[in-house]
This record gives sequence, structure tokens and C-alpha cells, in this order.
Amino acid sequence: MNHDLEQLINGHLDGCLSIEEQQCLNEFVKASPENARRLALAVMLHNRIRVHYLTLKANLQQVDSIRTGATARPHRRHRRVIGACLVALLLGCSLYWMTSNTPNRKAIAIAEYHQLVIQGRRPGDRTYQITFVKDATERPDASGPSNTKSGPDATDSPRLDVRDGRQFVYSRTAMDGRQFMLGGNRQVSWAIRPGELADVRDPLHFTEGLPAGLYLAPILSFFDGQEKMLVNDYHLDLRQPTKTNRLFVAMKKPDTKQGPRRIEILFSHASGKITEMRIWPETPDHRRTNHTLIQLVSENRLPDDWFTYEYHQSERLMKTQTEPSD
Amino acid sequence: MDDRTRELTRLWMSAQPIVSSFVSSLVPNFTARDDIMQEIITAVIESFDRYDPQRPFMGWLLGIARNQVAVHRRKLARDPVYLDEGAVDALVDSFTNIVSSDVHKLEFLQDCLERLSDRDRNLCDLRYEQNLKPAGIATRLGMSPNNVSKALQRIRDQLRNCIEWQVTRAGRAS
Repeated sequence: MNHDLEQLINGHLDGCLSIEEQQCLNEFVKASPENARRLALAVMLHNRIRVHYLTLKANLQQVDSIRTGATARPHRRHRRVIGACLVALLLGCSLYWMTSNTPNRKAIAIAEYHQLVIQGRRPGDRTYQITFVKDATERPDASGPSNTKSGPDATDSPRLDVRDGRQFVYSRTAMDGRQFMLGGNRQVSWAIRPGELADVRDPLHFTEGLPAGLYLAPILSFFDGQEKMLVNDYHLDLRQPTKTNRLFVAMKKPDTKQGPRRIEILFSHASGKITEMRIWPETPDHRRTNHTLIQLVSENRLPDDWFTYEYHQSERLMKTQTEPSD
Repeated sequence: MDDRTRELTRLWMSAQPIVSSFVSSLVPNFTARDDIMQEIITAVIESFDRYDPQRPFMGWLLGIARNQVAVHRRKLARDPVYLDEGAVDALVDSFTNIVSSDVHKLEFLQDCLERLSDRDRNLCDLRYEQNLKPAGIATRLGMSPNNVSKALQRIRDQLRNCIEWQVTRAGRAS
């Protein structure tokens, strides 16, 4: 072998070795633990330089944005420049502090989120009440929350029953008393509309009708790994609004297309029980801040076959038969 | 946060720079490495209940990292394989034996980067901030790719020597 190990290591770091050179590097690394250690230490340095430059870039962007703001106002320029420099320095320092702690904070939020998912899949029945909260700043011409597509126009508070964090029944009652239901038990998903027999489809088909659909984990998961959508596509943070509660906040990353804009999960620090979840849908106009509020109202055991369409269909049929005809 | 989660977080934070470097040695692309690191933390959290505390944490973690790199490669069939299995085995051993002083001495890096010439800093900026490979840097600066590769190697040597010098100086001072 005529190659120099240092040269091969550096070529490997920059991803520009030929096949023959890559084979040489393989042989070098296998030849002795000392060679393997040289590669390991070189990669650690390489990685650390990258982290340094990313941190620097974030700091410079922050300083730049402040400098731009300062030069836009020429009056009392001297004092403002000094002020801007001080603010830049402070922000730069705080940003450095934040970025150096970000992995830690994020890792804690991810760890906590996975604990919530595990908790959510514990055996048991849970019933949630769903409220569509309208914000006062909504424009008069806005037509209401974007997630009303699943059913009738105006309703009482819809209800979501969940078993083991995997099966669900979502029911809404319209103003005229007609009831709409969606359900799923991992084998099938189904819909029952007024005056119709159950429409039974594949397990994911009717999950689209749920508020926030696939983003209901950790309350409701439809398949393993569903929670990764949040981990991958959102900025995660964990806050402590009270002594006993924790608030998990997920904000969609700018380059992510699908999914709600923001998700908040309030849970007990001691038990991990989720008491409240708020979901802000993505809207083109951010002045509309309507959101869906999901609150735990009961953990009472539901009938064994509650999550099958047969149960609710037969209930409906019996009800129709016993109602007096006009 | 329960004790188990707190323990995992503590272990992960101390191991993260080594795991990240291990993944970089197998997948030189920074963006791919960041994606794989996300997958690793998810897999670690999901399987932490099965971790036997009697076994070294780093070895267990590197096993997971190795699996996640393999999963990533299966997804991207065109991703070239840089190191063979035997070389990866040797690297796992090396990273398992990295000691904390190897990690801590990198704290001197910032000081050493500030000592670089403007030209060298510009090269680092193009390579590490803008994520350009030697061929891309060569186009920007009107150099040959071979000269860029040599310059990057010289800069890394210089930084390594500077760090060692700083470690020795700090040792003498204390």
C-alpha cells in the first residue's frame, strides 16, 4: 500500500476517496487498533469543527438582523449603534447559551414525549371531550376552524373514546340531533352516518376525519412509529407551567408541509397522565388562531365491544325500531 | 421526568459527541448524519428498558447506532458504503475506548480556530458552514480540488497540534 494514512483519513472525511483508496483505508483501519483510533480521533475533531461553525453561523445571523434594524433609522445614530451593539452582544451571548444547551433541552423533550407515548398505550379506556376554541381575533369573514370537515355544521362538544391508546370512537351530534360516528379497532376503521349502515374500510381510512388525524399521538396512535412524525418534523420543547404539571410544546419546522402548526400537551409530572391537548391547525392566515382543545373527562371502563361498528350499528337499529313512527 | 428517563438523559448527553462522531465516520454527509442521529435517539429511548446496566452503555449505544446506519443505507440504496464490516468492528472498539480527556481537550478548538489565517478560516467556512466538498470549494476559489484537499488536511493537522499544545500548556499551568 503506497497511500499515506493521514491522507486517506482526510479524504474519507471529505467524502472524496476513490474505491481503491477506500479499500486501502479499510485495510489500514483493520490492521491495528492504533490506526482505528487515529480515524476515530480525526472524525471527532472534524465533527467538533462543524458544530463550531454552525453555532457561529446562528450567532452571526442574529447579529446581522439587529444591525440591519439599526441602520434603518439614521436619527441619533451614534447612541443607537451603541445600543444595537450591546443588544447584539447580549443576544449573541444568550443565543450561544441557548444553542449550546439546545441538544440537552431537545433530548429531554424527546425523552419525555416517548414516555408519554408509552403511557398513552397503557391498557385502559379514556374519554376525551373535544372543543373547537375560536379566538377573539378571528376575522369576521373567516369560516370557522379548518377541521370541521369531519361532520355536520354546528355540534355540541364531540367525544373521543380511546382504548389502550390504539382504538377509538369519535362521535359528534349535530344541532338537529343527528349523530355521526367514526371508529377504528386496528383491524378496520368505520363511519356511521344518520340513516345509513356502517361504512367499513381499512384501519387508517377514517382516521382522516379526526381532528389532527395522525397527530393525536400520544393520546391515540394508529401504528408503531407514528410518533416519529412529531420528533422529526417539529421543534420540541418542555416547559413547566405549574409545580405539578409539564407542558410539552411542538412547533412545526418551517420546511415541513403536513401537520398542524402547533401542538401542546399538558400532563401531570408525577403520573404522566395527559389532561389536555391543544392543536392549532395550519392556516395560510396566522391571524386565525382557532384551535382544538382535547380534555380528559373520564377513565371509566366502556363495554367490551364498544370499539366495533357492530355495537353502534345494532344500537342505532334498536333505537330506530323502538322510536314511534310518524 | 422519572428516574429512568433522567438516567437515560444523563448517559445520552455524555455519550452524544462520541456517537455522533461514530456515525460521521460511517456516513460523511452532515445532513444524513443529523437524520440518523434523530433515529438513534428515538431507538435508544424505545429500547432503554431492555438495556442491561451491567453492560457498558457506550457499547450498547454504538450497536444501536450501527443498526440505524444500516437501516438508513437500506432506505437509500444509492448511498455508497464507505467502510466494510471489519473496519466498522475496529471503529466500534476504538470509539468504545475513547476516554473523557479525548472529548474534553476539544474544548480548546475555538481558541485554535481563532489562530488560523484568514485564508484558512475562509476554507473552513466553505467546508464546514456551507458544507461544500473540495471540488465545490475549488470551483469557488479557482483552485484545483487536490490543492483544496491538501489545504484542508494541513488545517486539521494544524488544529490538532494546536489543541495538543494547549492541553500541554494547561497541564503545566495547573
